[in-house]
Amino acid sequence: MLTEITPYICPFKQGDRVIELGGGPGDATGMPIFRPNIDARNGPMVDIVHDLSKTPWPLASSQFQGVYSSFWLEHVSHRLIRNVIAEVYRILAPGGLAVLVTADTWAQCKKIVDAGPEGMNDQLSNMLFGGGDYEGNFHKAALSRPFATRLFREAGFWQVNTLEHPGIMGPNGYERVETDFILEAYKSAAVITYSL
Amino acid sequence: MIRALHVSGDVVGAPGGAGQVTANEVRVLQDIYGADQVQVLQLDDVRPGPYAGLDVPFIHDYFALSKVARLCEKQGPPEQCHIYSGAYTELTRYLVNRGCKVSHTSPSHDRNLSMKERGPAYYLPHIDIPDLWEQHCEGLRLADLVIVPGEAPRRFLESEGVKPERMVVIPHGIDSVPEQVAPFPEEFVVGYLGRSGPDKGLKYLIDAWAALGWEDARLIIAGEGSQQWTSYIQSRAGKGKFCLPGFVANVADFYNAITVYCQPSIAEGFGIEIIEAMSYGRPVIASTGAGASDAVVPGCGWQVPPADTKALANALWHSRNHKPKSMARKTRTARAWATKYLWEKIRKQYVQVFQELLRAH
Repeated sequence: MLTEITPYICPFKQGDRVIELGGGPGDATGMPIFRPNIDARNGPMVDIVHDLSKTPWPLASSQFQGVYSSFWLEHVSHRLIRNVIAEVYRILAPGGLAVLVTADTWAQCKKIVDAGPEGMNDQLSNMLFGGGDYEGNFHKAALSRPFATRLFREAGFWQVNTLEHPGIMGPNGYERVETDFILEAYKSAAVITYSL
Repeated sequence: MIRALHVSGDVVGAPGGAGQVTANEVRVLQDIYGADQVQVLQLDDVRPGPYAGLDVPFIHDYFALSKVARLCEKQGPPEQCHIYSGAYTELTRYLVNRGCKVSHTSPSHDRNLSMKERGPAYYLPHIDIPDLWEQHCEGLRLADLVIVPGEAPRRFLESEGVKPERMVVIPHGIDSVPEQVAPFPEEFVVGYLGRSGPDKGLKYLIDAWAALGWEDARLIIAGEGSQQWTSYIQSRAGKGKFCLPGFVANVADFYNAITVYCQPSIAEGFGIEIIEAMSYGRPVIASTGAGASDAVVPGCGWQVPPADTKALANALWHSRNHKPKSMARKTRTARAWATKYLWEKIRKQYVQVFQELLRAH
């Protein structure tokens, strides 16, 4: 997992408290980068066991300067995705940043269309529907860069950027992954008070 | 014997613009006719219990007309009827046809600007439906006299076919000018006081404030429901200090806490807070969409076009970078100018135009 994001440096600041969402138990199926790590499966590198599609999360509001996840958001049902994005907003401190690496379903579909009916294979199924090797490893929401931007803007994030996924190291060297993207969402640091 | 009527869909004397205007208009009629010869129809009379949830202006017209018709059957038509705001077309037609002099105060918003700004989420049938709008305007065209509080509503009603010779500009007023001016707060504070409806143009003010990004200055948006701007600020402003106190019980506390007052209205009949702020010695940034922007002469503030974030930001920047000496001069000018708007002076203007209206009998 680490090699996937090495060329992209998360713009978290030194000393920021960053939580990872769905970072995996700490084995071959998932290895978190940040701690605490909250995941539905228990494991040696899971700090809080919780199914993140169930809201509210057992976390206090405004307590993290950073939220990170890698290929978690597309595993949340499209019926619940607005709820979980609202939770990301809630747990972030004012001025906080969420960095989410996720799948671009629109680009995946384009890749499938480009492959044509004869080009369909197991790899493309895996890309579209998820690994399917354990209960939570299925894709349940279709995202694109503009749609994800809109969802995060609607949740209250004042600035949302989407970036191309920098790529992964494969058998043929460094390869760009055009079917994934990185989303950065900033929570406003505006100070709002309610009395004169 | 009832000789004069005052009709409105507001609560006479309630806090806020409409309540104060209606209270002073009733007082003018009582000064002319005597209190026992003036009948007041207000909110509860024109929107009785079962219809309390239906804020449809033509319902007010129906109930007001039914009450006035009964009065006329009993004693004949009154000499004068003054109507504040709302849509009372059939009442106007009924009384004019019976020789009663009918005048309106119409703090009209520019309908086109207002509709563009409000969008479908803020549906006002008498403004949005062309037939009802036409009916609403007909009431004003039928009246013997239409009092408008500023040049902005006068220009707009003229474009809607109200004859210019039947219109007169009489601004709304304030009760008093405070004897002393509180010093400006240490930090630069800009304030707005009033409702938070879409016509008020607050999103442009928030955008301008966010664009300036001052971390050592504060924007106060006060008035009932101002907390509703929380999510908008969070989604539009990266930084900056905002204060959303909601309803302010003592307006003096508000005006004394600010450096500059800003009224960014898109379309507003008057905007009494502009005059109030001036009376507290506060320079004003006012959109020309507000009727009261007439009062903001160069010596006491800045006028900006409505719905113009850049112009607002520019005016805010200028107001902040004004030399203290110049700000002190603006304070003096603003207070002196505000005295022109004392209700005791405004009521005399009402008396004068009412007497001229009755002489035409």
